This record gives sequence, C-alpha cells and structure tokens, in this order.
Amino acid sequence: MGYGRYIVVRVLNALLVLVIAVFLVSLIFSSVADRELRAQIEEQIAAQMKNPELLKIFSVNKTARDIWYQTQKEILYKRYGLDKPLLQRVMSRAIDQLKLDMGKSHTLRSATGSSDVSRIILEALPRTILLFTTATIIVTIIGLILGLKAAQRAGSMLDKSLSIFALITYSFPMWWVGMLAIIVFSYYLDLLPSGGMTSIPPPEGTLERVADIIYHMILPVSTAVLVSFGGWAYTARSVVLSQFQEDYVMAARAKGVPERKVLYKHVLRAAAPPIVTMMVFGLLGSLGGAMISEIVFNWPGMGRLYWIALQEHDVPVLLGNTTFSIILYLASLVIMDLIYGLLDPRVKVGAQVAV
Amino acid sequence: MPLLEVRNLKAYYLTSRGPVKAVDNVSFDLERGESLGLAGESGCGKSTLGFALINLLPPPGKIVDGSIKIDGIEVVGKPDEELRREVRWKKISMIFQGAMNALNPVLTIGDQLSEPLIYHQGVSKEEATERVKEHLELVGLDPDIYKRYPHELSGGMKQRAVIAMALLEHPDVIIADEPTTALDVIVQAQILNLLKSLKKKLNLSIIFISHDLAVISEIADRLAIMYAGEIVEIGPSENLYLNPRHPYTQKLLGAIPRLKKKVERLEFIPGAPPNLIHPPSGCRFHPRCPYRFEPCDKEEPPFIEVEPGHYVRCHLFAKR
Repeated sequence: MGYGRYIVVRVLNALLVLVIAVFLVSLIFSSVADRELRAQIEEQIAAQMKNPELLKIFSVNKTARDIWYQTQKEILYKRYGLDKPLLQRVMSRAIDQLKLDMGKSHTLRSATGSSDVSRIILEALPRTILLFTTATIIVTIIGLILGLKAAQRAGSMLDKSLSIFALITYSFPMWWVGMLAIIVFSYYLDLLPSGGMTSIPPPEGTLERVADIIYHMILPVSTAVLVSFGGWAYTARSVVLSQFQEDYVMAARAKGVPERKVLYKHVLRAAAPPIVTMMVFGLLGSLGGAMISEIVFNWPGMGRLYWIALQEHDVPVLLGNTTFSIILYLASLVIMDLIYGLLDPRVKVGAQVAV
Repeated sequence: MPLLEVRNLKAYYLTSRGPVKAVDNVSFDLERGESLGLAGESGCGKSTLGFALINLLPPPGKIVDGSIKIDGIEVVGKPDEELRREVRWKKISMIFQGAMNALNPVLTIGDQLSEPLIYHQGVSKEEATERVKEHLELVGLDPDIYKRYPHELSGGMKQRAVIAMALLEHPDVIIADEPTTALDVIVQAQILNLLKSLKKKLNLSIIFISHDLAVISEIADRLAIMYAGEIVEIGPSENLYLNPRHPYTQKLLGAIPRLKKKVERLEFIPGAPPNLIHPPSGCRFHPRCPYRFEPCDKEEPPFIEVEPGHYVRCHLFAKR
C-alpha cells in the first residue's frame, strides 16, 4: 500500500538522478580522461620502440618507422575505444562507472598494493564514514539535548548563552580549529596524535587496533563536534520552540497529558522530520567538507584521496571518487526520505500525488 | 450552588511594559445544563478568560487574583500537577479555536483522543480505543477514523473530532472557544446543531466564546458581553438580544448585518478598544460612549440588576 509504493517511487527517482549525474560527470571528465589516455598510449608505443631489433630496422628505414608507429597507434586507440565518437565514449564510460568497473589507477595504490580504483575507494570510504558519522551522532545528541533544554526555557540564561556560543563556534572554520587543536594537544601538550588513523606500525590484536583508531579519532571528532554542536542546538531549539507554540501543545496540556509526554510524544514527534533533515544534511555537508579536514588531520579517507588524486592527475580515481560520492549522497537522501515517510504521515500523500 | 462560580477573576499578562489587564474583576455563575455565551470584540479578553478557566494561560499570562470554583473545588492556586490529574479534562475541557491546530499532525486521531483516558483513568489501550470510537460516533463521525491522521479529514470532521475529544471524560464544564470561526457557513450550521443536540442529550454546561453574536444566539441560554476585560452586561439571551441595555451592547448588536431590514449603513463604534495596560478610568467604555455623562470617567459603575437576572454595568441605570 502507501508506504511500499512511496519507497519504490523514491528509489526509482534516486536511480534516475544517479544515471543522469554519472553521465554528466563522465562527460565533464571526458576530455581530460581522453588526453590522459592518449598520452598513456604514446608512452606505451615509445616504450615498445626501445626494442633494439625495431630500432635497428628503423635506423635504416624511416618510413617503416612512421608506418609502424601509425598502426600501433590505431590498434591501441581501437582497443581503448578512442576511435569511437565522443558520445559513445561518454556512454560506455558512464556505464562502466555505474557497474562500479572503474578501471585501474595510474599511480595511486590501495594499502594492499592494488591499482583497482573501486578497491582503493572502498578502502577509503568506510574511514570517512566512520569519522564523520561518529561526529554527526555525537553532535546530534548533544545538540538535541541542549536545544530541547533551551526551548523549554526560552529566554533563560542557558538559552541566551547558547545562541552566543552557537554564533561564535559556527563561524569558526573546522580546519582552522583543527590546526589549533593539533598545535595545543599534540605539539604543546603531546597528549594526542597529530594525524593519521593508526599508529605506525599498527598495534597487534583486534582490541588494541580498535583502541588505537579511537585514540586517533579523538582530535578530529572533537573538532567537528566543537564547531557544529552549537549551531545544531540553536537550530533544534528553533524547530522545537516553533512546535511548542502550536495549539496542539496547549491542547495536550489541557487534556492532562504529563509534561514529559507532551515534550517527547507530541513536540519531539512533530519536530522530528525537520530534525532528521538537518541531521542528514549535516552529515552530507560534513562529508563534502571532509577534504580539508581530512588533509589537516591526515585522515586517509575519501577527501584526502581526492586531493592526492588531483595532485597526481589520477583521473580514474577522481572519476570513481566522484561517482561514489554521488551514490553516497543519493543513498543518504533516499534513507532520509524513508525515515521521513515513517515520521510524518503527510509525506506519503505527496508522493502519491507526484506519481 | 452553581456548577461554576467565578468571582473577581483577574488574569493579567505580565509584560515588561506593565500588566495587560486582559481579564479584570470578572464574576459570573454557570448552572448545570446551561450554556453561557461570551461575546465581545477581538482583544476584549474573552479567550483569555477561557484559558484562565482551564488554568492554562500562555506565558506571561497569569491569574493574579480571584476565585474559580468548579463543582465546589477551588482551582486558583492549585498546584499544576494536581490540576493536571484531577481537574483538567475531568471537570473542565475545551473545544479549541481552529480545530486544525488543536490536533497534532503526526499522531492519529485515536492516539490523541485516547490520551486523556489513558493518562487520567489508566484504562488499557483497547478500552480507550473503544471509548474513543463511541464518542466519534456520538459526534456523527465514522468510528473507523480513529486510525486516520488529521490531514486526512476535512475541517468539519476535525472540528467534530475535537468536540468528541472534549466530551471523552464527561466533564462538568466545556469551554468552546470560537469553535466554528474557521468553518464555512454550512459546516458551521452543522457543528452548531451538533453542539445543541449534544447539550440536550448529555445535559452539558457550555461556555461558548465567540465574536459572532449571530452564532451565539443559536446556542446560548444566557449571554455575557465583555468589553476591555470586563463583563459589561449579562443576562438571559432573549432579554439581551431584544432589549440590550448597555450602550456597548446596543452598538454591538447594531453592527450586525441584516437581510430583512434595509439599513442605510451599518453602525460601528467610533474609536478603538482601549489599551489594557492603562485602561480608561471610571467606566472603561466612556471614551467611546455616546451617552456618557458626569460620573462616567470618574466612578466605576456597579452591576445593576435591571430585570431579574439581567445585570448591566452602566451609570445610566443607577437608581438615583
């Protein structure tokens, strides 16, 4: 019935967007990827020409050399699909991307030494998710509790100081706070590691390994929490406060519903959809901003991978990274829509109308 | 003993510019099975009076003085927790202004209606659902809508659901705060008929708050006219409609459009309702009153009984 259809519509929507987005990205990357490919082919032929027997022949016959060079080039162009028209090349690249068949990287390697692009990315992706999901969950919990308290006592000292705190911390760039944190906590105080995800070499044993990763997460996570929980609490406060002023809250109180139930059953339930939206967009936003933060903390995730790939001109990695980011983004939106449908009965109706 | 006894009630909004005297020195009684209409311009304090009766004034509103006795129980000054457990919804319930907002959009009708039963009487969820269904039927709704969400109902259906909600615990007094204002005339008539038949069937005692005198005339046995936080005239509806005494009541009735009588232009009352932080001295209506004379701006007029049960707060009727 309602919800099943709603899910199908949302997922189909997301898939359509995914196809279009990947096609556009493939188109944009097309010229630089083709240029890379041609240069690679030139290199390959040049390497083959170093063959001493060939060199001997070519030193006698210059035209033979040119003909050989041309045929080699044509063979390789054909093999890599460079002889086909642009649109076809873009299409086949987009389809490869969608199949997660992202080819080989040029210079970057995974930790296990593989040059398979999807493997390199799948290695970095969980690290990014680990770091930023942890931060987002902590921010959500702290922000929600503070926001609720502030909304309950609107205009109190807590409420006022929260607004000021939110304004100040929200305007701090995360990487700047991160650098300060590194200076203080690892350089001066020598309490926490300045970066990376594990000690070098990583400790033996699963438990020690987990502890080591948590130890390395403290600084980046607390930085992310520090700069965002104030703003989060402030927004949560506004959302909850606007619900508090609704008539149904007064009605619930008049009905004799205990205050705690008014807050958790009525207000929080009605405020949940916008809060979930904030949470998901906060998460996506922090993933988007992950590049700089990951570089500052030398965290081997998606953002840092992108940065390195950019410096190394490793186009397949860039392309694959972009595709994965799109998938991640759309998946989060679909999950948000699904939660939304559960939380707010009004949403499903909209979906049915849209069909 | 009357069912509801309000004496010298003062409900003020304590703002930084001084107290807004939204309800000042209001006294009236309500008998069992009686309906009292409460009318007045916007901002005269009628809704504030309604919220004060149920002791849920939105901050910074506060009952500063007076007494409200419901069935002999004094509710002013009673701790909130006791009010919640013993008085609200059991003794006095409310049909809210604009039913669409009185229902939480993300909870089902059944969920919201069964709440008072569950929290007050500790009945099981199943039993509460049964009772809710009975009451939905009572107000002319399909009992199956208990599992629907508010947005799936029409305005009239929501208003009926809100009425069912108010009736659930068979309260002694029901306050209906502009229950039909947001509805179109057809639905308004249906809701009024429903309230009338419920009143007869269940012997309800209703305080019906509205700015619309035509609507009130349909349902009220007695009528109270409020002006600037005070009741200026109170008495049996018929007497008030046919023979209004207070100049304000006369003007208010004169401002109702009529079909049958050709009126050159609708009357209105010159001036604006007074600032309730510094209400006018003496009679609060004197700056706008066409009949004002010597004592009006100095002495506060007392309640004068002009007919049995018909009281007017105006110097014109003082026996001198």
